[in-house]
Amino acid sequence: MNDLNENELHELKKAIKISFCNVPKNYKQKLVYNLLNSIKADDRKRFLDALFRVINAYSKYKEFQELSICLNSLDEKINTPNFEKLSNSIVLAIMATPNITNGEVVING
Amino acid sequence: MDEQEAVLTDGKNRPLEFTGNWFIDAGILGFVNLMEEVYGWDLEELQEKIKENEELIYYGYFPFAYLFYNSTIRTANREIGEEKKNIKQMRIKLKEKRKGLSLEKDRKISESKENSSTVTMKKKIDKIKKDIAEKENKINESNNKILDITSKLNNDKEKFITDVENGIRAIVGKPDANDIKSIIPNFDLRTPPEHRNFFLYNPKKDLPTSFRYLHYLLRKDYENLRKLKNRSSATYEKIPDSTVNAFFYSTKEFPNLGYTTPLKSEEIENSLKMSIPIYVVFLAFYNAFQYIQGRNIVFYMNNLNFCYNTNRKIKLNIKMLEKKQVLFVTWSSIIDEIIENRSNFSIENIYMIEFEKIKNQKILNVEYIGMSKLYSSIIIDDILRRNINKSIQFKPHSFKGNKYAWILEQLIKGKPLYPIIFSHTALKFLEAKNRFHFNIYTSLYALAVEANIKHIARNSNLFSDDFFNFSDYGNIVDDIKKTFSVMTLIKNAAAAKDLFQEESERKRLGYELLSALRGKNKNSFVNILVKHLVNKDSTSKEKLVDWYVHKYIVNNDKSWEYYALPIIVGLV
Repeated sequence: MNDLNENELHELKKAIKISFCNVPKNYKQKLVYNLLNSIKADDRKRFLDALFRVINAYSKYKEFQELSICLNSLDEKINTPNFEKLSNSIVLAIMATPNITNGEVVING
Repeated sequence: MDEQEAVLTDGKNRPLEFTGNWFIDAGILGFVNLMEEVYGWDLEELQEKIKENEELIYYGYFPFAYLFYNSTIRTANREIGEEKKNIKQMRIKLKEKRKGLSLEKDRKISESKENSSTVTMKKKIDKIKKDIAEKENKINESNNKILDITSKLNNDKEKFITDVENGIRAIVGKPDANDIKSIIPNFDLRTPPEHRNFFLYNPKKDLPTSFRYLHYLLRKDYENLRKLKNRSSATYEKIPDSTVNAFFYSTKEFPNLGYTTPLKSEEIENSLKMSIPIYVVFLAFYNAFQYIQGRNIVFYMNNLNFCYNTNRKIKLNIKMLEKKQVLFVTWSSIIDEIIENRSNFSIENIYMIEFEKIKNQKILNVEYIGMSKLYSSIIIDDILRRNINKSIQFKPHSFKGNKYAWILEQLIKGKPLYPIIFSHTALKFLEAKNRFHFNIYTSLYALAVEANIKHIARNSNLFSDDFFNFSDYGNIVDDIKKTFSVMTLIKNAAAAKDLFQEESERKRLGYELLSALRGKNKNSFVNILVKHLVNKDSTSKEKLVDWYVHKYIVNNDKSWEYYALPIIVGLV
């Protein structure tokens, strides 16, 4: 349960890449800074908070709905030693998504 | 079985052979080297002579060779060494003077335009010129002296050899009756550090006594030895101890070291079925070693011909080349020899035995290094060997100032390479650019080699399945090369000009990453790197983030440091 499954991680990465295509570049940068800071401070709740906020904001996209299913188990892993590895993978996956300049999405709060 | 034993124990005029025990074999190699140095016989010739009459060789030629080597040859070598040292010092001074001269000349030119009185300047320059001429004369004198010493040594040697040839049969037959005195003129022993308390040197004996002593010692004629020494009984002649060889322990000083009483020389001889008197081995032991970069080294292989040829080739190569390159020559000589001989003995059977020096009959810093199959498969590859057969500068923890580490040697000795490469990279940030040569490819190859070795060592048990499953090693060279190309790619990505344009940013990031790496803090490393990359827009960034950092650093707990360092190397 605690161990990170290679396949699981791969799936998660793929889902993030597909879904975050819809997020504008500037918003992504801000998010990455935020996530990195929470990782550095080892503030796991803040990390999840920031992540779920984006998912909520973009929940109208189908890809984000799929991502939220993928992330379902994330809550259980919050206290495992592997969390840092997982969180770093998520950040890297977000950064690796191609940028779309004409973002149409309106961000809520 | 009986037949075989009969052949072995028959023992008469058997050619020289290695026994399989490195200590004894090093002595045999030393014996061959000594005979070659004194009489000029190579291994083949020596074998022929032993076949003809081994009595003469072991009890006549050898003692004389030993005495001649430890008197005339070593005295001459010492004198030559001193002259060479003088020349070296003179050359340094000469260089300084020449530099001073050109400086003075420049000053004279610039000042002569402004001021017409340049008489003092001229005087100064003349004085320096005179100094330079003097120094050059001294160097010439020293060179002439060296030539004189060598020609005198050669003459002495020729006379010695003819005298020995003429008198040897009579002397071996009756060592007491003959007058041996004239064979080595001006006989004066030089005490070798390894045999300080040996009967010959404490105090120094004259030639007849010395020869008789060695002769009886080799023949194990204890009765005559006792008479010669004026003692109640023979001591280390019977039971060899640290007086004879520093690799032995002293039974008097450490009576609790052995479980049994130490072996007598006859017992060693019989148990190894040796054809050669044991004291030949003990006395010539140190002639097997070569002085390479402050250490005495012998490369041991379990075949006499092969071992002799390899060590001789190394010796020749060292003589031909400048001192600096000595390290790089040794391994290429060995590999040349293997390929030339098409020998069945592969590099796996090589051992390297080295020690620093002998002080007060104690041997310092002995190392005995065998080579595993793994390392030999790495070394046998030309590209890998060429790249890691280099020495690079680094800063050790307990050392003020910088030091050089020979990467190949460190690898063979099984010492970790990563700290050296890390320190080498860190030095690049600290040292002034012109004073430091950063060796990128050696660093990356060393990292690739060690990362792959770590990968292979999945199981930490000594005799795990991996230990017996050698097929794994077959691919390691390819794997290392692949890893190297990945590391080069990422080094280039980090070095790309469009990623971090400003020098100051590179430096700051480099320092931060180095400190994270020093603390072995993976998360901090990734955090810092990613934070600097967030607002960058470049294809190199995609390479770094999307693939490399994720695969080799975040998801790699075992060897992530090895893959993290190339990024810093790229920033340098």
